[in-house]
Amino acid sequence: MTRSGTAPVAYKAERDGILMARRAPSLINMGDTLAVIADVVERLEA
Amino acid sequence: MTLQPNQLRPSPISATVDFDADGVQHGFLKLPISTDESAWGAVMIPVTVVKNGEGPTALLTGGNHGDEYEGITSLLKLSSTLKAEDVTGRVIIVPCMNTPAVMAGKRTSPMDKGNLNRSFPGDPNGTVTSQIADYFTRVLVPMSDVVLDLHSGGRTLDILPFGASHVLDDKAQQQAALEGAKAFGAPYAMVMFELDAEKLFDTACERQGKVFVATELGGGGTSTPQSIAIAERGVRNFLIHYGLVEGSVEMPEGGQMYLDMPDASCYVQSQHSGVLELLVALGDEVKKGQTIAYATI
Ligand SMILES: [Zn+2]
Repeated sequence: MTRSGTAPVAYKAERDGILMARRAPSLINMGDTLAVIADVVERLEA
Repeated sequence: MTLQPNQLRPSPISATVDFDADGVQHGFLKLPISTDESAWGAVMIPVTVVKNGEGPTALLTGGNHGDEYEGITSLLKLSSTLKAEDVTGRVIIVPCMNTPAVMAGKRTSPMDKGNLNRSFPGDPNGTVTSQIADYFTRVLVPMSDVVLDLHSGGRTLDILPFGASHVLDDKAQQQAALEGAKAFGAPYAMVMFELDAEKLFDTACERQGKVFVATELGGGGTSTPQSIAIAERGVRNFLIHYGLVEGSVEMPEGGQMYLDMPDASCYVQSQHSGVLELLVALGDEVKKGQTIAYATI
Protein backbone atom coordinates (compact mmCIF):
# COMPACT_ATOMS: atom_id res chain seq x y z
CA MET A 1 0.00 0.00 0.00
CA THR A 2 2.88 2.33 0.73
CA ARG A 3 5.20 0.96 -2.03
CA SER A 4 4.86 -1.08 -5.24
CA GLY A 5 6.74 -4.27 -6.04
CA THR A 6 5.91 -6.06 -2.77
CA ALA A 7 4.20 -9.47 -2.97
CA PRO A 8 1.04 -9.93 -0.84
CA VAL A 9 1.21 -11.88 2.43
CA ALA A 10 -0.88 -15.07 2.55
CA TYR A 11 -3.11 -15.91 5.52
CA LYS A 12 -3.97 -19.58 5.95
CA ALA A 13 -6.79 -21.38 7.75
CA GLU A 14 -5.60 -23.14 10.89
CA ARG A 15 -8.52 -25.59 10.80
CA ASP A 16 -11.15 -27.16 8.56
CA GLY A 17 -14.59 -25.56 8.56
CA ILE A 18 -16.63 -22.83 6.93
CA LEU A 19 -16.06 -19.08 6.79
CA MET A 20 -18.37 -17.89 9.56
CA ALA A 21 -17.31 -14.23 9.75
CA ARG A 22 -15.16 -11.86 7.74
CA ARG A 23 -13.86 -8.35 8.16
CA ALA A 24 -16.03 -5.89 6.21
CA PRO A 25 -13.71 -2.93 5.43
CA SER A 26 -10.81 -3.72 3.13
CA LEU A 27 -8.34 -1.55 5.03
CA ILE A 28 -6.73 -3.58 7.80
CA ASN A 29 -4.42 -2.97 10.73
CA MET A 30 -2.40 -5.28 12.91
CA GLY A 31 -4.58 -7.33 15.26
CA ASP A 32 -7.78 -7.04 13.23
CA THR A 33 -9.85 -10.21 12.92
CA LEU A 34 -9.82 -10.94 9.17
CA ALA A 35 -11.79 -14.19 9.21
CA VAL A 36 -13.41 -16.64 11.61
CA ILE A 37 -13.68 -20.33 10.74
CA ALA A 38 -16.23 -22.53 12.50
CA ASP A 39 -16.52 -26.33 12.53
CA VAL A 40 -19.58 -27.80 10.86
CA VAL A 41 -20.96 -30.48 13.20
CA GLU A 42 -23.73 -33.06 12.88
CA ARG A 43 -25.10 -32.44 16.35
CA LEU A 44 -24.86 -29.74 18.99
CA GLU A 45 -25.27 -30.99 22.54
CA ALA A 46 -24.62 -29.57 25.99
CA MET B 1 -29.03 4.95 53.87
CA THR B 2 -25.71 3.72 55.18
CA LEU B 3 -23.55 1.65 52.86
CA GLN B 4 -21.17 -0.96 54.14
CA PRO B 5 -17.59 -0.89 52.77
CA ASN B 6 -17.56 -2.65 49.35
CA GLN B 7 -21.34 -2.38 49.13
CA LEU B 8 -22.57 -0.73 45.91
CA ARG B 9 -25.02 2.12 46.09
CA PRO B 10 -28.30 1.63 44.17
CA SER B 11 -28.18 2.34 40.44
CA PRO B 12 -28.55 6.03 39.57
CA ILE B 13 -30.86 4.96 36.73
CA SER B 14 -34.62 5.24 37.34
CA ALA B 15 -37.34 3.73 35.15
CA THR B 16 -40.46 5.64 34.10
CA VAL B 17 -42.31 2.34 33.72
CA ASP B 18 -43.68 0.04 36.44
CA PHE B 19 -42.23 -3.41 35.75
CA ASP B 20 -44.93 -5.05 37.89
CA ALA B 21 -47.96 -3.50 36.16
CA ASP B 22 -50.06 -5.45 33.66
CA GLY B 23 -50.54 -3.99 30.19
CA VAL B 24 -48.24 -2.26 27.69
CA GLN B 25 -46.01 0.58 28.86
CA HIS B 26 -43.52 2.62 26.85
CA GLY B 27 -41.03 4.73 28.78
CA PHE B 28 -37.40 5.34 29.54
CA LEU B 29 -34.54 4.27 31.72
CA LYS B 30 -33.20 7.66 32.85
CA LEU B 31 -29.57 8.17 33.81
CA PRO B 32 -28.75 11.65 35.19
CA ILE B 33 -25.82 13.33 33.45
CA SER B 34 -24.34 16.80 33.59
CA THR B 35 -22.66 18.00 30.40
CA ASP B 36 -21.78 21.21 28.54
CA GLU B 37 -25.02 20.86 26.59
CA SER B 38 -27.25 19.97 29.54
CA ALA B 39 -26.26 20.76 33.12
CA TRP B 40 -29.16 18.82 34.63
CA GLY B 41 -29.71 16.31 31.84
CA ALA B 42 -30.34 12.62 31.43
CA VAL B 43 -29.48 9.79 29.07
CA MET B 44 -32.89 8.43 28.01
CA ILE B 45 -32.89 4.72 27.13
CA PRO B 46 -36.21 3.62 25.59
CA VAL B 47 -37.90 0.65 27.25
CA THR B 48 -41.18 -1.18 26.64
CA VAL B 49 -42.78 -3.55 29.14
CA VAL B 50 -45.57 -5.89 28.05
CA LYS B 51 -47.03 -7.87 30.96
CA ASN B 52 -50.01 -10.14 31.27
CA GLY B 53 -50.48 -12.09 34.50
CA GLU B 54 -48.07 -14.62 35.90
CA GLY B 55 -45.40 -16.30 33.82
CA PRO B 56 -41.77 -16.10 32.85
CA THR B 57 -39.95 -12.84 32.10
CA ALA B 58 -38.07 -12.45 28.82
CA LEU B 59 -35.58 -9.61 28.39
CA LEU B 60 -35.04 -8.71 24.69
CA THR B 61 -32.11 -6.41 23.93
CA GLY B 62 -30.69 -4.71 20.84
CA GLY B 63 -28.24 -1.88 20.32
CA ASN B 64 -25.76 -3.24 22.84
CA HIS B 65 -23.48 -2.12 20.02
CA GLY B 66 -24.85 0.96 18.28
CA ASP B 67 -24.10 -0.05 14.67
CA GLU B 68 -25.81 -3.47 14.65
CA TYR B 69 -29.17 -2.90 13.07
CA GLU B 70 -31.14 -6.16 13.03
CA GLY B 71 -31.76 -6.04 16.78
CA ILE B 72 -32.41 -2.30 16.90
CA THR B 73 -34.86 -2.47 13.97
CA SER B 74 -36.74 -5.64 14.89
CA LEU B 75 -37.15 -4.73 18.57
CA LEU B 76 -38.26 -1.15 17.88
CA LYS B 77 -40.90 -2.60 15.55
CA LEU B 78 -41.93 -5.27 18.08
CA SER B 79 -42.31 -2.61 20.79
CA SER B 80 -45.03 -0.93 18.72
CA THR B 81 -46.93 -4.12 17.87
CA LEU B 82 -46.75 -6.56 20.82
CA LYS B 83 -50.02 -6.59 22.75
CA ALA B 84 -50.55 -7.62 26.36
CA GLU B 85 -53.16 -10.21 25.41
CA ASP B 86 -50.57 -11.92 23.18
CA VAL B 87 -48.25 -12.50 26.15
CA THR B 88 -48.21 -14.86 29.13
CA GLY B 89 -45.82 -13.38 31.67
CA ARG B 90 -43.65 -10.36 30.94
CA VAL B 91 -41.59 -9.17 27.98
CA ILE B 92 -39.10 -6.34 28.63
CA ILE B 93 -37.84 -4.79 25.39
CA VAL B 94 -34.76 -2.54 25.28
CA PRO B 95 -34.05 -1.98 21.56
CA CYS B 96 -31.17 0.49 22.11
CA MET B 97 -29.25 -0.62 25.20
CA ASN B 98 -26.40 1.81 24.55
CA THR B 99 -28.64 4.64 23.30
CA PRO B 100 -25.82 7.21 22.90
CA ALA B 101 -23.94 4.74 20.66
CA VAL B 102 -27.09 3.97 18.64
CA MET B 103 -27.75 7.68 18.10
CA ALA B 104 -24.17 8.10 16.85
CA GLY B 105 -24.38 4.96 14.65
CA LYS B 106 -21.25 3.61 16.32
CA ARG B 107 -20.21 0.51 18.18
CA THR B 108 -19.16 2.54 21.22
CA SER B 109 -20.61 5.52 23.08
CA PRO B 110 -19.58 9.03 22.02
CA MET B 111 -19.96 10.07 25.68
CA ASP B 112 -17.10 8.00 27.07
CA LYS B 113 -15.91 5.74 24.21
CA GLY B 114 -17.45 2.91 26.21
CA ASN B 115 -18.10 -0.46 24.56
CA LEU B 116 -21.15 -1.59 26.56
CA ASN B 117 -20.51 -5.26 25.87
CA ARG B 118 -17.04 -4.91 27.40
CA SER B 119 -18.30 -2.98 30.44
CA PHE B 120 -20.06 -5.64 32.51
CA PRO B 121 -20.81 -6.14 35.33
CA GLY B 122 -20.56 -2.34 35.42
CA ASP B 123 -20.27 0.25 38.17
CA PRO B 124 -22.91 2.67 39.58
CA ASN B 125 -20.12 5.24 40.04
CA GLY B 126 -18.39 4.57 36.72
CA THR B 127 -18.69 6.11 33.26
CA VAL B 128 -22.09 6.47 31.56
CA THR B 129 -21.59 3.15 29.74
CA SER B 130 -20.51 1.40 32.93
CA GLN B 131 -23.54 2.79 34.77
CA ILE B 132 -25.84 1.39 32.05
CA ALA B 133 -24.16 -2.01 32.38
CA ASP B 134 -24.60 -1.93 36.16
CA TYR B 135 -28.34 -1.24 35.80
CA PHE B 136 -28.78 -4.29 33.61
CA THR B 137 -26.67 -6.46 35.93
CA ARG B 138 -28.43 -5.49 39.16
CA VAL B 139 -31.96 -4.53 38.08
CA LEU B 140 -33.13 -5.95 34.73
CA VAL B 141 -31.28 -9.27 34.62
CA PRO B 142 -32.42 -10.35 38.13
CA MET B 143 -36.06 -9.77 36.99
CA SER B 144 -35.57 -12.00 33.96
CA ASP B 145 -35.67 -15.73 33.32
CA VAL B 146 -34.50 -15.74 29.69
CA VAL B 147 -32.45 -13.11 27.85
CA LEU B 148 -32.07 -12.63 24.08
CA ASP B 149 -29.32 -10.19 23.08
CA LEU B 150 -29.38 -9.40 19.36
CA HIS B 151 -26.00 -8.61 17.80
CA SER B 152 -24.75 -8.35 14.24
CA GLY B 153 -21.31 -7.72 12.82
CA GLY B 154 -21.42 -3.94 12.95
CA ARG B 155 -19.50 -1.78 10.53
CA THR B 156 -16.30 -3.85 10.62
CA LEU B 157 -17.59 -7.43 10.39
CA ASP B 158 -19.96 -9.46 8.25
CA ILE B 159 -21.24 -12.63 9.96
CA LEU B 160 -23.43 -15.61 9.01
CA PRO B 161 -26.84 -15.46 10.70
CA PHE B 162 -26.91 -17.63 13.83
CA GLY B 163 -28.31 -18.07 17.31
CA ALA B 164 -25.58 -18.85 19.84
CA SER B 165 -25.04 -20.23 23.30
CA HIS B 166 -21.87 -20.89 25.31
CA VAL B 167 -20.23 -23.79 27.12
CA LEU B 168 -21.21 -23.43 30.80
CA ASP B 169 -20.37 -25.28 34.02
CA ASP B 170 -24.09 -25.81 34.73
CA LYS B 171 -25.09 -28.28 32.02
CA ALA B 172 -28.84 -27.81 32.55
CA GLN B 173 -28.42 -24.07 32.02
CA GLN B 174 -26.22 -24.73 28.98
CA GLN B 175 -28.81 -27.13 27.51
CA ALA B 176 -31.66 -24.65 28.01
CA ALA B 177 -29.68 -21.90 26.24
CA LEU B 178 -28.59 -24.22 23.42
CA GLU B 179 -32.20 -25.21 22.78
CA GLY B 180 -33.11 -21.51 22.64
CA ALA B 181 -30.25 -20.79 20.24
CA LYS B 182 -31.58 -23.52 17.92
CA ALA B 183 -35.22 -22.46 18.34
CA PHE B 184 -34.34 -18.89 17.32
CA GLY B 185 -34.49 -20.53 13.92
CA ALA B 186 -31.68 -18.76 12.08
CA PRO B 187 -30.03 -20.69 9.23
CA TYR B 188 -27.17 -21.53 11.64
CA ALA B 189 -26.96 -22.42 15.33
CA MET B 190 -23.66 -22.16 17.14
CA VAL B 191 -21.75 -22.84 20.34
CA MET B 192 -19.55 -19.80 20.51
CA PHE B 193 -16.00 -19.33 21.78
CA GLU B 194 -15.45 -15.73 22.94
CA LEU B 195 -12.03 -14.08 22.73
CA ASP B 196 -12.52 -12.64 26.24
CA ALA B 197 -15.83 -13.39 27.94
CA GLU B 198 -15.18 -11.75 31.31
CA LYS B 199 -16.82 -8.36 30.67
CA LEU B 200 -19.65 -9.45 28.34
CA PHE B 201 -23.38 -8.99 29.03
CA ASP B 202 -23.57 -12.71 28.24
CA THR B 203 -21.38 -13.58 31.21
CA ALA B 204 -23.21 -11.20 33.58
CA CYS B 205 -26.47 -13.00 32.72
CA GLU B 206 -25.04 -16.51 32.81
CA ARG B 207 -23.44 -15.93 36.24
CA GLN B 208 -26.93 -15.18 37.61
CA GLY B 209 -28.09 -18.55 36.27
CA LYS B 210 -30.16 -16.98 33.50
CA VAL B 211 -30.81 -18.65 30.15
CA PHE B 212 -28.93 -16.44 27.70
CA VAL B 213 -29.07 -16.56 23.90
CA ALA B 214 -27.08 -14.24 21.65
CA THR B 215 -27.21 -13.79 17.90
CA GLU B 216 -25.07 -12.55 15.05
CA LEU B 217 -27.16 -11.58 12.03
CA GLY B 218 -25.14 -9.96 9.27
CA GLY B 219 -23.18 -6.75 9.56
CA GLY B 220 -21.39 -4.09 7.57
CA GLY B 221 -23.26 -1.34 9.42
CA THR B 222 -26.58 -2.03 7.70
CA SER B 223 -29.33 -4.65 7.37
CA THR B 224 -30.90 -6.57 4.49
CA PRO B 225 -34.46 -7.83 3.87
CA GLN B 226 -33.18 -11.33 4.63
CA SER B 227 -31.42 -10.40 7.89
CA ILE B 228 -34.42 -8.44 9.21
CA ALA B 229 -36.73 -11.35 8.35
CA ILE B 230 -34.45 -13.74 10.26
CA ALA B 231 -34.37 -11.38 13.25
CA GLU B 232 -38.14 -10.88 13.38
CA ARG B 233 -38.91 -14.57 12.99
CA GLY B 234 -36.22 -15.37 15.57
CA VAL B 235 -37.59 -13.04 18.24
CA ARG B 236 -41.04 -14.53 17.75
CA ASN B 237 -39.62 -18.07 17.87
CA PHE B 238 -37.72 -17.23 21.07
CA LEU B 239 -40.89 -15.99 22.80
CA ILE B 240 -42.84 -19.05 21.63
CA HIS B 241 -40.08 -21.47 22.65
CA TYR B 242 -39.95 -20.16 26.23
CA GLY B 243 -43.75 -20.07 26.59
CA LEU B 244 -44.39 -16.30 26.52
CA VAL B 245 -46.33 -16.26 23.26
CA GLU B 246 -48.52 -18.95 21.72
CA GLY B 247 -47.76 -20.42 18.31
CA SER B 248 -45.32 -22.80 16.71
CA VAL B 249 -41.64 -22.22 16.10
CA GLU B 250 -40.80 -21.73 12.41
CA MET B 251 -37.49 -23.21 11.32
CA PRO B 252 -35.65 -22.25 8.10
CA GLU B 253 -36.86 -24.04 4.98
CA GLY B 254 -33.48 -25.45 4.05
CA GLY B 255 -32.89 -26.77 7.56
CA GLN B 256 -30.41 -25.52 10.12
CA MET B 257 -26.65 -26.05 10.06
CA TYR B 258 -24.82 -26.54 13.36
CA LEU B 259 -21.52 -24.79 13.99
CA ASP B 260 -18.97 -25.19 16.77
CA MET B 261 -16.02 -22.98 17.75
CA PRO B 262 -13.78 -25.13 19.91
CA ASP B 263 -10.95 -22.65 20.56
CA ALA B 264 -9.07 -19.50 19.53
CA SER B 265 -7.64 -21.13 16.38
CA CYS B 266 -10.98 -20.27 14.74
CA TYR B 267 -9.86 -16.62 14.62
CA VAL B 268 -7.52 -15.46 11.84
CA GLN B 269 -6.00 -12.15 12.92
CA SER B 270 -3.88 -9.69 11.00
CA GLN B 271 -0.17 -9.20 11.60
CA HIS B 272 0.06 -6.51 8.91
CA SER B 273 -1.39 -3.16 7.97
CA GLY B 274 -2.62 -2.96 4.39
CA VAL B 275 -5.42 -3.98 2.04
CA LEU B 276 -7.38 -7.18 2.65
CA GLU B 277 -8.32 -9.58 -0.15
CA LEU B 278 -10.48 -12.48 1.06
CA LEU B 279 -10.34 -15.52 -1.24
CA VAL B 280 -13.45 -17.22 0.19
CA ALA B 281 -17.00 -15.99 0.77
CA LEU B 282 -19.16 -16.30 3.88
CA GLY B 283 -20.40 -19.86 4.22
CA ASP B 284 -17.68 -21.32 1.94
CA GLU B 285 -15.89 -24.48 3.06
CA VAL B 286 -12.20 -24.11 3.88
CA LYS B 287 -9.46 -26.65 4.61
CA LYS B 288 -6.67 -26.44 7.17
CA GLY B 289 -3.62 -24.87 5.50
CA GLN B 290 -5.67 -23.28 2.71
CA THR B 291 -4.78 -19.70 1.84
CA ILE B 292 -7.98 -17.78 2.61
CA ALA B 293 -6.79 -14.17 2.40
CA TYR B 294 -4.03 -11.89 1.19
CA ALA B 295 -2.81 -8.75 2.86
CA THR B 296 -1.28 -6.38 0.32
CA ILE B 297 1.06 -4.34 2.48
ZN1 LIG C 1 -22.36 -6.61 18.93
